[in-house]
Amino acid sequence: MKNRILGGIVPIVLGALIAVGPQTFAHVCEVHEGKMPMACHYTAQAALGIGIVIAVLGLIALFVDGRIRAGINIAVALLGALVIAVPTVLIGVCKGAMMHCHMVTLPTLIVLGVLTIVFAAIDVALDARHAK
Amino acid sequence: MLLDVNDLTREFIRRGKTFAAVDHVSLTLDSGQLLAIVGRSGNGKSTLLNMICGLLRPTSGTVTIDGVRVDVLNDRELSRLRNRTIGFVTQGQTLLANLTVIDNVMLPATFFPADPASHTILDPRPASTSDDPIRVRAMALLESLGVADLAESYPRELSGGEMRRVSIARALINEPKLVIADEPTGDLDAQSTEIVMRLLRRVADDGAAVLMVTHDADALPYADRVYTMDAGRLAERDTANHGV
Amino acid sequence: MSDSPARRRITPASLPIENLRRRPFRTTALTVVVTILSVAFFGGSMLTLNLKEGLASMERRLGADLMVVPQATSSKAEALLTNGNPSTFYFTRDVAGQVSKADGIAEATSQTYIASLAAACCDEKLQIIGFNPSTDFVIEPWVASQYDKTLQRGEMIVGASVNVSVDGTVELYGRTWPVVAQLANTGTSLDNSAFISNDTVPQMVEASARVSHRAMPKEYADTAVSSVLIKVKEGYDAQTVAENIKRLNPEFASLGFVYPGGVTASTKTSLDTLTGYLAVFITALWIMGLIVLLAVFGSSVNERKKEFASLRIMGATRGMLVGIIIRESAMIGLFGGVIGVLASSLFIFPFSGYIGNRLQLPYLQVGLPAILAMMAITIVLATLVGMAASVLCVVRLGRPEAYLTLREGE
Repeated sequence: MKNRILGGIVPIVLGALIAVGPQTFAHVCEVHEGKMPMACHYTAQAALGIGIVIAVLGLIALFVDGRIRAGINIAVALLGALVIAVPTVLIGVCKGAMMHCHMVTLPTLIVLGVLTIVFAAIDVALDARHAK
Repeated sequence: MLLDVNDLTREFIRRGKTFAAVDHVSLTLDSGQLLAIVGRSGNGKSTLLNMICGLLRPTSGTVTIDGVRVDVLNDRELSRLRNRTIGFVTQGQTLLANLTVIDNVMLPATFFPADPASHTILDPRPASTSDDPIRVRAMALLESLGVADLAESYPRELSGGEMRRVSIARALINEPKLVIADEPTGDLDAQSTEIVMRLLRRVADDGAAVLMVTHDADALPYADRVYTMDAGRLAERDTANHGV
Repeated sequence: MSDSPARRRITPASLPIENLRRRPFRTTALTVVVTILSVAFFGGSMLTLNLKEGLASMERRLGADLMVVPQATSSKAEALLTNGNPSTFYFTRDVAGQVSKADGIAEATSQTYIASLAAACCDEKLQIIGFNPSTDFVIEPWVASQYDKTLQRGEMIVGASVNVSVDGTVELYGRTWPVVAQLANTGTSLDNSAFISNDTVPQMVEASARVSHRAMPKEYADTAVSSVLIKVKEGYDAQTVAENIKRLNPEFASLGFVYPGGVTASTKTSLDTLTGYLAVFITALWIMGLIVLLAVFGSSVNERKKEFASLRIMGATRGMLVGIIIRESAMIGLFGGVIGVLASSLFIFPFSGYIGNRLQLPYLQVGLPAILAMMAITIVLATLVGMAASVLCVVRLGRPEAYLTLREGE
């Protein structure tokens, strides 16, 4: 039961935050009409996709046994690394240190990514031990 | 003579009045003997046992175990004596709840790892953990007590009789010369009582001195000698007529 | 239940780990208490250190004793010094010229401030500061450490937060400006500034005009000055010089006078108030936490009397018992401390820019050695508070004949 919360509910919540965050409370810079969207716009799009995948994996993890849940959480941990990589190396955010996406979106995604990795790793450790 | 209790007295003060919980008690016990002390609770039996193993200082009198005066030892020496020379079979549930049965049994063997008096078979630093001699010995003891299959269980999964047997295994892990058993058959059914008492008898026959406190008449036939304790005073009873 | 049978021996040294593992609820609850304490301590300390660092950096950057600014713009000028938003204000150069003739002035130089629009798609608002390289005594000294040539027309020196493209230019008002140097982080709004020489100001204003919004009217472009920065002569104080300036011309009485020393002092005051409240809050939290831990560990002595008595009867020395209890609580302190430091680091460091922005106070991340030292101090304190919690137990067990028999424990 405890593992179900850790391996299922936690990824659902974190995935939702990763997907929604850059669109709402940790929003990126607006795209002005007729102008080229900035890097942070694409970062937000990528985060939306990855976040949804993480949440869906968490949903699946609710209905499977320990071994499969451990496997799902390995995937979730790797996606967590992707959440960190997108705003830092893969796509990036606006360079200006005072820009909202640099100041809020970037750290928010890093924190959510780290939390995703940590919790998924704990779940893998627990599930793998009990599945023996 | 392995145990020599000489004129032992312990006084307590209760409601301003001094009274002797143990009153000028003397007794001796040799290796290979099983001695039982009977008496109602509150008659000083526990106080006596606590003084014998040095947990309680006597008001007067002496306790000598294996030629060593218990009352002059410091805490470390006393602890070593309790660990190496004495094996204590406790009444009730005194196994450590957080350890498995096998770890409970092994624990006393790890207290003094650098101790030169350690038994030769118990190499304190085994090369590999798979054939840890302490583990091997603990398993052998559990085997001989018929509870080897419970080795990886936790105490709360055990019945009273099983716990008592594990507690005996724990008392025997360091091959003690003196085994003290406090109500070893208390709250056990007849079958378990028989198993436990046969075991204690065998321990005595194998050369240890066994001192048992009990109020269970079924336990008495196994004893070589029976004493009664009444209001802190000890008296020998004729072994021919046991029946309480 | 019998997962992975422990193949290693349990000894008095490893017994505490087993006790913690087998009581996950109690262990978690106690660890959470210590974690909260260490988050508060580490977070509060880092905040305080960073604010102090920001203030020190601000003090180093303020070379003037007095700033004369146009009417009703003092607060904007103060914001420039601390950590406020960019702004534009100005009067004319002849006012500046007259002001600098007042008695008691050792050095005077003028600066022009322009707040740029967020020009290119990826740029934020910049504070443009035009200064006069021939009379400047404020910016040059610290710019000199990174750029020792004279700033040419059209060239720029930018603060640490300004986004410089790879070819060494900044895009502003639809054109690119060569950047000759980028300055180190100061934790103030200067990080978001571009420094240009006075001669570049009209060029900048023209450029702004072309991109729809004119930064200032054309007729002012050549003569606008936003502030006169003054260093007073030995023996004069800033207030006296301000009075002297007001006496020069009755109109000058309406000018704004900013005392950077006073700005520093008032920033320091609000910072001290903030850190003071923080310290009181953290202390109160730690006292409450210690009481909770003391209560839990204290009550566990009675609860665990039997366990200790049975260890004793097996031959554990008093020292072993004390060791088991101390190690158990120290481990909880250590876990809580480490988790607390990691958790707060996860928020403090990535969000450093955001925190500074919200506080509107100079906020500069201290260096790695200070961070590591603070982490170590937090973990040590958390471990100590864990150990302190078991002191009552230890005292009770230390008494000779403190507990007696297994039967009495029942």
